[in-house]
Amino acid sequence: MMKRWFSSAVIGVYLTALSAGLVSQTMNFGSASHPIMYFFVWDMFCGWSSHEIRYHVIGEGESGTYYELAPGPWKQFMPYGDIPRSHYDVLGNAHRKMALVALAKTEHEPIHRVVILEEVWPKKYNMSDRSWANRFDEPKDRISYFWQRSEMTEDGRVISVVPDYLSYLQTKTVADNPRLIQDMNRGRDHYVISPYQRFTSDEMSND
Amino acid sequence: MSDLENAIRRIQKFFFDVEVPFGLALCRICLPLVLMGMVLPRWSVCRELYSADGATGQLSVGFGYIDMLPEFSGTVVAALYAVLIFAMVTLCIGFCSRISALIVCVLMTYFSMLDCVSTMTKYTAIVTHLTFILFLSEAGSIWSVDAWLANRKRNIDPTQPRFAYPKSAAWPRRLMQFFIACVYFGAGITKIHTPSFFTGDQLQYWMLTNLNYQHRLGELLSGYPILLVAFGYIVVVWELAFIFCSWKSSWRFVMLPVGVLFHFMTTLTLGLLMFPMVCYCTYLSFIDEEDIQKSSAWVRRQIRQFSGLKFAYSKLIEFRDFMGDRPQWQVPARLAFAVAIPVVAIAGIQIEYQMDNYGERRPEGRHHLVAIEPERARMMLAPVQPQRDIDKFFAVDMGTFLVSDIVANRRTSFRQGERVIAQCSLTPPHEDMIVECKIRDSENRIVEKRLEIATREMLRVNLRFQITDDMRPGEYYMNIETAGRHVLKKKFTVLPKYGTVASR
Repeated sequence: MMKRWFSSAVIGVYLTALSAGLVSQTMNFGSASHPIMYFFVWDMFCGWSSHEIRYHVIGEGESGTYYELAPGPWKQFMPYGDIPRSHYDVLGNAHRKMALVALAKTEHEPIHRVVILEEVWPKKYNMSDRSWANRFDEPKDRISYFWQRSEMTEDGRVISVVPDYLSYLQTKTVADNPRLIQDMNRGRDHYVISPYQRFTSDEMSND
Repeated sequence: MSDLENAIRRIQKFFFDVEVPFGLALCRICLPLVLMGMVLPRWSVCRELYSADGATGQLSVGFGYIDMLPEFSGTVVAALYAVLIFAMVTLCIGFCSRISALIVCVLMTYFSMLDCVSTMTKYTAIVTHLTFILFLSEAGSIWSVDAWLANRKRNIDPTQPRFAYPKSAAWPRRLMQFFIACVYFGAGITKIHTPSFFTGDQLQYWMLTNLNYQHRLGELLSGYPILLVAFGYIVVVWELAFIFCSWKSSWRFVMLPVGVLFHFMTTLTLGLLMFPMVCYCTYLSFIDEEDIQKSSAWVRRQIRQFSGLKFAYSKLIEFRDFMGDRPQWQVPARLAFAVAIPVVAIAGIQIEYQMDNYGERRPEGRHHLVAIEPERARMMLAPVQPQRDIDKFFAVDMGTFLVSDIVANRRTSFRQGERVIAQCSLTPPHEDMIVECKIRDSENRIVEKRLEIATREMLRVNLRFQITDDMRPGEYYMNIETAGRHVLKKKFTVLPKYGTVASR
């Protein structure tokens, strides 16, 4: 009998957890409130981007030479095909650690600063030459846009950080409206205590 | 009997009916084999991916919890990773199945959560659920080492298998079925939340990236967004209906094959490999005793028909008789499992040490950082250049009618009198733009001109014009411009009107 009660409790708890995940996702309520939600919210392929992005982590040496810090100079790990792991860090969770590991495990001249960059190009240029020729009358002319995302000292202290390139483009489309910019500046406070506001000036200078 | 009592009785039967756990046993065997495809390539780099000596990327950070899980040294991680692989092997062969499933569940979840960059995906989250359900179930009671070592009841009936299969409650299998149905339902809801899924744009752009392995068919299909829209609707209906129709009914024979086909197509068009395989493992939970009886009868018929199979079957029977049953080995086997875990952990540490991921113990010394070409470094660090107009446009297509706001009949030749739609697909994010279409003849004279405004949220802009009788048959160019700057060019041909002498 105890076993039956235990089984019923497990069934009840498990189905309740699955249902809670579905309700949370459907109603868009608390679906990112805790890491455990990742195991109960089934939002596969929820986002998309029209641009392909690669991430570069480079270090500037004392001599002015720049070095690649991610992927490291050892055997590259490519988790899903032929693209190194560093290019999958969309949130930028691991880039700093990758740089520090590369600096700690290699021989190199003194490094003065570490820069994390995005390389961005529209996905249409990923088409093979054959597909391109079928659809376009003009030759493929791909260029990459390089966007400096953050800068650190060699010991990993963050000096500056800005939003990603696509957020910058998105903001720019809105900032094209002079009336909106005028309204934004009207009645703006001069002193705000929150340290997050400090990034605003860097963000503007990158523009 | 009241309706309520009847309903309770049916629910109890649904969850607590006693059966031989064939489906879960198959899942227990197949899942670790599939997971090996993910776990083994990460073995040599486990120090880099999951240890404090590497570059972890914890899942919790994205949820606002900084470094929620403890990070161990590279040596400890090498030991735990070796234990994970060992537990997957023992789960597959059904040796101490329950504890093996628990080890896989805990370690797999832990490692996945430590590396959201290259390990944690939705299929690893699915694996956490599956291994947890396998831990709760009696999946190791048949077709396993545990079954071989157990005290089994002999069948007196000669038409039945020599040993009676142990039976257990159906609820773990039901939980697995509910689970995969909820996954599909959630995926359907996600698509409903994503308007660009129904315009084909989301799938088109996913098919144009190789972040998930190479997939040539995806690139080909991305050129036909109408097909993507149609398949998109079919998939959403199937995903939402799965939870209602996949149970034991005639619909099951539609829902499950469609699922198999759907996942196979995601491999071909999106480059997903592990996700479909893991989902196929959950489909095994839909197999019940009746299915096994039917398929066994079919296999027996095949064995009788083919002498080669008959021979193999007789050898298998001989092997089974040779192995016999060894209930007396049960306790020593469990002790061996307990001893094997630290032995495997130590072996894992030693192998990882020998592999020397960072090359710190190479005879030629540690690695040197790779220098970047000065020219490339300058290009990378230069201020970002303004976005080109061409990069705000995806393509321009011509046709005469729209389906789901997409040009349905892409053409480059038109008859006089036809009404042409020139559709410019835009690449978001873009600002509000003027899109101008100029039709030029072979002598570069402008014969037609159209202008539209594309606001920032638009993904397509349609410019319509008539091929009038004034446009004589021949070659023409359509120039797409914005703010007077050239963006795209498309060549097309004007043919004589139907019914005219020239059209013959």
